[in-house]
Amino acid sequence: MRRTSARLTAAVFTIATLALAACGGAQHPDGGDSARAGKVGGGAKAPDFSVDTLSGDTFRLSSHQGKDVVVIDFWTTFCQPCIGALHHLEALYQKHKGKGLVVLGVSMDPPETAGQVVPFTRSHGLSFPVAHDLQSRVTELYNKKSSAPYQVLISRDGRILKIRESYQPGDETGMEADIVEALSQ
Amino acid sequence: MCNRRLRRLLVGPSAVLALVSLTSGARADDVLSKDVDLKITETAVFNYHFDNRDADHSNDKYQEWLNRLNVQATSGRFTAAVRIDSAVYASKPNPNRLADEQFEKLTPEQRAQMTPDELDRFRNLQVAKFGRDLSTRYVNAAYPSKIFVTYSQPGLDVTLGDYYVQLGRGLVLALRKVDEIGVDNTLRGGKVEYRPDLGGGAKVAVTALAGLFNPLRIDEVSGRQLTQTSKGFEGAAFPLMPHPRAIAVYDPLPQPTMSPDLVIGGRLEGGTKQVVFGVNGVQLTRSSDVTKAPFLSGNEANATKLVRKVQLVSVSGSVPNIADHGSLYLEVAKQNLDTPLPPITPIPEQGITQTQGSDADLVRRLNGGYGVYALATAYEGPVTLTLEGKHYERLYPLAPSIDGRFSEFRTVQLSTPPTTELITNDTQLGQFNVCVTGGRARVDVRASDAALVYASTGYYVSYSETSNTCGKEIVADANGGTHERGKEPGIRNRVWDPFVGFEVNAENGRTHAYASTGVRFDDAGENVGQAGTAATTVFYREHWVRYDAVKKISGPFSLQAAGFHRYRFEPIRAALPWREGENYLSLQWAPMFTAAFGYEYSTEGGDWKHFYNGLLQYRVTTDTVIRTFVGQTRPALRCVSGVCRQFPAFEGAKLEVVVRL
Repeated sequence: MRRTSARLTAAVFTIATLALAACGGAQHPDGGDSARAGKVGGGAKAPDFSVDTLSGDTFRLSSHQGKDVVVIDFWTTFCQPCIGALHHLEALYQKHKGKGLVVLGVSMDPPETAGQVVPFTRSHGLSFPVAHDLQSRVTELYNKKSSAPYQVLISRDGRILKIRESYQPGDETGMEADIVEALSQ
Repeated sequence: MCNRRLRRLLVGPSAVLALVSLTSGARADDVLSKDVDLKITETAVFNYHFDNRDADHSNDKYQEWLNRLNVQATSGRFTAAVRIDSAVYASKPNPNRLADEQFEKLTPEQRAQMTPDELDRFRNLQVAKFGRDLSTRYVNAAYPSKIFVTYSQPGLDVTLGDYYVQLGRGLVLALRKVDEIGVDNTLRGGKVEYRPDLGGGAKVAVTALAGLFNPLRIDEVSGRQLTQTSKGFEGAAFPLMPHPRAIAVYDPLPQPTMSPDLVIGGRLEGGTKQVVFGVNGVQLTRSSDVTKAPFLSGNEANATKLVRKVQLVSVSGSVPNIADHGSLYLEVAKQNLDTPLPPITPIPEQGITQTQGSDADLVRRLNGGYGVYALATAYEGPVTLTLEGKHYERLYPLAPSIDGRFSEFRTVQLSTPPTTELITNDTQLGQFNVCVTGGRARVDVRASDAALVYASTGYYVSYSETSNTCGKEIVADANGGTHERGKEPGIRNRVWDPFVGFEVNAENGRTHAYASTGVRFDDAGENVGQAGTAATTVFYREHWVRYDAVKKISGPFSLQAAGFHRYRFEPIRAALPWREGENYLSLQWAPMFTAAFGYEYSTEGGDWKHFYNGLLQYRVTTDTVIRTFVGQTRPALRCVSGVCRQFPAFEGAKLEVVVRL
């Protein structure tokens, strides 16, 4: 009986794996085949959401559709690689915000570190809007594994162009190339 | 092809919500688009366990395949998703083999003192013990761990199925996902959030929720499985979850090891952009099943497990921006313990012979817990000051109805009062946070664009680190009578934990150095320590240092060193202090490769223990990541957000593949 169950399970996932392979492709981290998924309209539609920012404003994704390229960046105050990623994202935001780049920082901090979110944004000089995703609403839609850092690049027409998980020095080159390409489309 | 199939699947459940929104004036195309966008995330982990060199052989020499398959579809304003979790095990530990090992450990002298019948009985008892333990571990399973459909339009979000939720700052309800410690808690039911646009900066939001508690059913570290009957709460269906199964002769009468609790609650919020007030409320109700299964261990440290119902309410006030120079948050919560549980039904076949229920008098004494949490932030120029304080009195985190014998799930809880401590703190011992008063002050100074320095200190007085009941237990007095112990100095712990640190960036952020160091002084109100050690009021001592440095080498190459070292002393646990630490050195080749070498150590128990490992990560694409790990990691208590769990040592190999489509 248990052996049958194991075989069934294995069969389910073999089929699932084959189905995954049949359903789509991927893109290279350096943008090598970004022609497949990097084009506007090439990715899945970004689910809409609204969330309150630390300043008390409300950020709604759909209000930027047709106008802006949006980067959603997931981080926590206790994630050290996030500091490097946010540092570069702030620089990119300053450089390209006049061309239609909108950045939303999404803190996934749990109750224990919720008190550090505002000081963190201040002491690290983040000028773009930041939301504390207390309800995990945005995280559940875009970042199933609650990874940090984790970036989602959304085109002007509201499609997911690229997702970046984790950060290591040097990734900022690819980040900027993707953003520039999205802004040019 | 994928899109067409999924669209058909979505039409049914979507239609109900579509009708709701159509009547509110939304265009049909907005509600349910002709196109369905599909997003798939597949995570597969293969682990090969060798002997991890601890005394427990029930976690050695087996293999496992842990899998998570997420499928999410978006159409118009609808998003639907399902996550299938599965676990497949091979070469599982065998109760007979483990019993034989115990049998062989008997010395010749011990054997000589036992009759043949006693030797047989000894071995049979070992088989029964391991058999019963393993009957809920390493069981192959596949189940829909999370499933939901949401509808979202400006001002309205409706979710049916699983959802994460936090009310306020977690004093009342906090269900979330913390992969680091294997926590992924949701409610399975319904949630509606309504936030009408009132204009003029006015804000009103209403959240109503109801659902059955749905934690992960498989603990990936121990392979332990939570089982329930096919019914959820009082006969309500909760299908497709792992259920008790008879495993050969070891567990002929398997019992459910969890019962989904019913949670009903909500939040009402109102105010302006400048000031927001909120009221949060929640009631947890346990199913009557909890009296039929071993949910009460007889010595519960958490008072909420003693009652059938728990109510929690809180009010909060928030000022997000005070003249561009600060912010303020305050929340006050009250807890009510309702309906002590009756005696449980004994299950001798499971080794459960006790019939005790809750001590109604103890419940009465512990009832009425409350908590106050406050946070203030002030900033001017490069300086940011943070003040965080708490006063909790018998404020127990909401505990679910899970078999109390399983240590793997003791950390699962439905609320998380903020601790105001470092996220990495694993030394809030006992029920530290249940009866505590204290706070933390922290100052961050941005010395330059490239440098940040900070200093922080916390001070706490806890009456629940050495007493689970905050002194509300009855003790004998000198006259032969009894009295309530109360908050006497003997159960008082005073804690100081200052730390300082810095962050420095260079070479346009490609090079950095972060470091921090601190101490923790925890002193008891009376002498503690093991027999044979000197009398001391030292409850706990620690000195620690953490570091993380990255140096750009050339082009896409960087070198990183990160780790920590701790000097620890806990007289109740060990007569001598010990040292432990982790150090990782990695070579990074952006954006594709990371190769790391790790060295971990511990002197706990007297001897140096060394652990070596290697890790290789290859990002094939931004959507496909492969990680391999070979080697050893030390056993450790890992904490996130005040929730800690013990991880056993690991020795073996891991392969993790993440694919997003």
